Amino acid sequence: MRFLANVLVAVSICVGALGAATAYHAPLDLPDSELVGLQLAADAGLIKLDSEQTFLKAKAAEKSQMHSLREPAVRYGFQRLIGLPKEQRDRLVFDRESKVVTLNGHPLPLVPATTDGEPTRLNTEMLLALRDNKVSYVRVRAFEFSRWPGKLLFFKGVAGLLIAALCLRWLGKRELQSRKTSGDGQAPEELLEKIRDSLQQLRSKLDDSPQASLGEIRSRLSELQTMELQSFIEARTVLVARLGMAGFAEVMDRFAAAERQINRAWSAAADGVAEETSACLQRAEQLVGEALQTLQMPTSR
Amino acid sequence: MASEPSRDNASNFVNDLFQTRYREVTASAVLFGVIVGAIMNMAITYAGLKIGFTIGGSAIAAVLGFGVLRGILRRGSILETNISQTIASSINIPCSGIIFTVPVLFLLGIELSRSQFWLFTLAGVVGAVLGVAFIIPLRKQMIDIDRLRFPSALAVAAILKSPGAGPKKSLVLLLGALVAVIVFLPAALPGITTKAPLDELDDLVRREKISPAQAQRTRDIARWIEERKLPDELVERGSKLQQRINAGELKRGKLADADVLAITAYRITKGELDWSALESFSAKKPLLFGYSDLNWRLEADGETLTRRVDRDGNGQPDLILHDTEIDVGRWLGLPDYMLFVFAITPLSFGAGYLTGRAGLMVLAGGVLAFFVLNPVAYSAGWLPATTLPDEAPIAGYKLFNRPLGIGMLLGGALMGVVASLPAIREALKSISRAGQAKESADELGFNVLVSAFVLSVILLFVASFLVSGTAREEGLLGNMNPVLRNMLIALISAAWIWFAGIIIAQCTGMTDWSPISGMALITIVLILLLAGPSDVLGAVLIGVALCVAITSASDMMQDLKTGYVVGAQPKRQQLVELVSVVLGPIVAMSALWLIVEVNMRSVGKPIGPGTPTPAPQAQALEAVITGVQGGQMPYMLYTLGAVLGVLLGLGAFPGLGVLVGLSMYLPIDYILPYGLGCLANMFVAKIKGRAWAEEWGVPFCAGLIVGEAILAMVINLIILAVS
Repeated sequence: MRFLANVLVAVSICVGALGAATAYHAPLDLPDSELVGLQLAADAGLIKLDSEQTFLKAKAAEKSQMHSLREPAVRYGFQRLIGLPKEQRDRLVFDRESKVVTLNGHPLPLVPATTDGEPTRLNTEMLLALRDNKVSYVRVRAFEFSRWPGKLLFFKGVAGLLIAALCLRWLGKRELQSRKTSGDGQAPEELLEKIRDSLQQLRSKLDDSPQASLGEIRSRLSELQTMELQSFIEARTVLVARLGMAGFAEVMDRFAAAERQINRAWSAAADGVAEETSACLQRAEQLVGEALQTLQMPTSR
Repeated sequence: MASEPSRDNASNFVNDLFQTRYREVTASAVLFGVIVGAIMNMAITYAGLKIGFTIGGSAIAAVLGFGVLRGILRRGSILETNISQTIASSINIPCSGIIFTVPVLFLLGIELSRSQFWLFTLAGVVGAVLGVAFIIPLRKQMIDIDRLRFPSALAVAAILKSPGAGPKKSLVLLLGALVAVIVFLPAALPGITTKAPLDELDDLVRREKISPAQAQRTRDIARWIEERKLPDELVERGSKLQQRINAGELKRGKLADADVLAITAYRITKGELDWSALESFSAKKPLLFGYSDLNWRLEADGETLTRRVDRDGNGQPDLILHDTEIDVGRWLGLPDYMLFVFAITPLSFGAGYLTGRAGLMVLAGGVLAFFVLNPVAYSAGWLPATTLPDEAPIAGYKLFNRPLGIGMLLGGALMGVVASLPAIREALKSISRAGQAKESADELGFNVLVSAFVLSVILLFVASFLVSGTAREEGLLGNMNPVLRNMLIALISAAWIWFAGIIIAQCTGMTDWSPISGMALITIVLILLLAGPSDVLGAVLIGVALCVAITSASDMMQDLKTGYVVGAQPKRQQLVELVSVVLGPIVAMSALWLIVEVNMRSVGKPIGPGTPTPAPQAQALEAVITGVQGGQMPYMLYTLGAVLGVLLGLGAFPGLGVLVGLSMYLPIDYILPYGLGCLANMFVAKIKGRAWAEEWGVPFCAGLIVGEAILAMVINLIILAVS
């Protein structure tokens, strides 16, 4: 069930993102009245000519050829090419197979996003050429909900994410409920008591022979850090289920303070400062006690 | 009489701060941190403007502190070294915020007066204090309760703890650093360059070290110098450009590389510059070997080379192994519109390992962007028809991945804050309780933080008012009284800085990455909307405050995490950082001013393309500002992304939107090695057990992070020295 919910999240985010990606697309099957005047946000279409002969005439900027061109896309493309500076026209290349015109290896757009540094505004001539060029969408600068082609896709993604989130939350609650009752693993209270006992033992050992036992204390603290402290941290889900987030935060506040004192005791032991090690162990012991007390406190949470 | 208790308090405070039982805050640690931080700040400011490289520097400061305080002075404790790295990184880190924002003014052709320069410095200082003051109350929530990993902080802690962790772990850490150096060296060495000799140009083009256009320009320049004659049209163009500059119609900062060449040519003919000035426009060649010298190339099918095999058109199949990345996608024969490239970076791998399984979600956003969105968009014809297959990843990134990713990040972060509210409330209650009970108080009290906040907002208002002036603008607050308008902008900015600080701290906590560019983008858009699109100075001023604030906030949290692991007292770290962070923007701005002055004298342009400091990061922000001014911002994509980010966070893991959004807008070549690191952690834990993976994997990966960071720093210092 959890796996299915996660799959639903993955599919829904893909679907939603795909829908969102089309937010600025304007479908060219809309009537001209809705498209004319819109500013382009990206280049649209490709310059494709009907023959190499037309291309050569465009390269030579023979304006008279324009009248003989019937197809709107070819005519518009031709017009664009003869408007280019001569230096650029000389470098144009025509691909006989695809009939696409390229400049420095790049296809030229039929309608560029900008003209003279200003965003291009769509007009009827451009629309005619683009439709003839088999362009389905153009990317525009203004968003309009009614024009957005991927809105259904986006809302399907949103619905999927909502359903998946509800499922995951429900599953999470059920899992927490079962953990609360089954109590798998070592109970948090036991772990805290074990930590407190260990700290007590370490402190009495340190009091007996301060400098001699620092190395041993450091290695025992390392074990405590990787075993008991880590196990308590991993009991997060059980604790949140039992105490709620606020209660958990209250326990962790004390526990983290204790853990920091244990870490400090480790550093002091590594630096050979017995007095600080002992003081930190004492404070840590007290704080673990406070965490245990908070954990055992009957609350109205 | 009334002064007695306060004197006692002050005395207690000083005694507590400089307690002597276990050395923590000491004069040597503070002095060492300030010196290292200032030097790193200046070096990284220059390196960042030159090549876009910045680092936090905690790891380097920790290693240096370790060597100097413990090794040479033989007196530093673990916590003392921690304090010195805290100070050094807090002074160093604000330079990232400065070099990302201030140079954009020069790029836009805005020349700062001396008083404006100091106002921008003030904004940086205010940002630094705000960033630290805002994030301190969240320490308990992020580190104690939510237990965010902060991989780099763990790496620094591993260095600090290495003397006490036993010789074996120290050796593993050193081994990690050595592996990082060996792996990263061939990726970094080609950055050291020298002038390309004419007879090697063809060979350099063939080896893909320079482009054919660069080679041609180098030949042209050599010919001009030899004949002592410049093309008439170039000189004429330079003359016209110079006239427009003199007439105030054209700003130096707006000049393109070719324009600067034309002006240089004109000034040479006038005798104002020496012919050698042209040499800075010639191609450079790497001085030393790199991965690309292994010459691992694609296999060509048939006799003619198509674009699929030879994209750069140099007449031979393209490289698979470049100096800094390996193109696994092209090697495996994936379609050109799919980008599957791994950057050669042990640091990202190490950070991924230290994050572990949780970081794997970062891969999800990268997969969504580069393996779902781009291929579908390309195949469905959603990208401009002129887009070639291999250009689809970058086109998709610009058109929708980046805005959707930033939106998702914001939505996810908002959800994360909502989900963490009980923990935040509890953390704040705990700080408040400690303050009231006059406990030994491990944290700075609210009074210090509130004072820092109020002072910062007032200073932000003053700087904003003086920079933006009283002119009426066409923004949302345009018709308002200028004093009230700037007051509101200062308050909104402060609130946004708080939220952005949380986002950045969450991101670095979960993944080690901070989306500074995304946050800067939102800031600039927000201020331009409020104050009007022509108030670029005001927007960049707030942008400076924000960028410095968020970098300082994330550094503070990283330092506090390191401090947690070694057992430092948060209050001491918070205090030293709150004071030392002020120095960072001042040092960075002074270094920037010096660079601008030198550039103006040598190439006649303050910063940007055509100067030794092209400021690549600020160029990205320049594009945003011109985009807002030209009405090109895809606001709806940000909104839709935010909706998806919120919904992602509704499920089992509130931070999911942050992770997916972050990786949608970060470069995939860094996400992939990071994901590999996460997988390596899971694999090692499965084979050898979790305890082994932690005990030995953490020091090794800390070594990877430190090794690369130090090597990168050394190589960049060499680059600066050579150039």
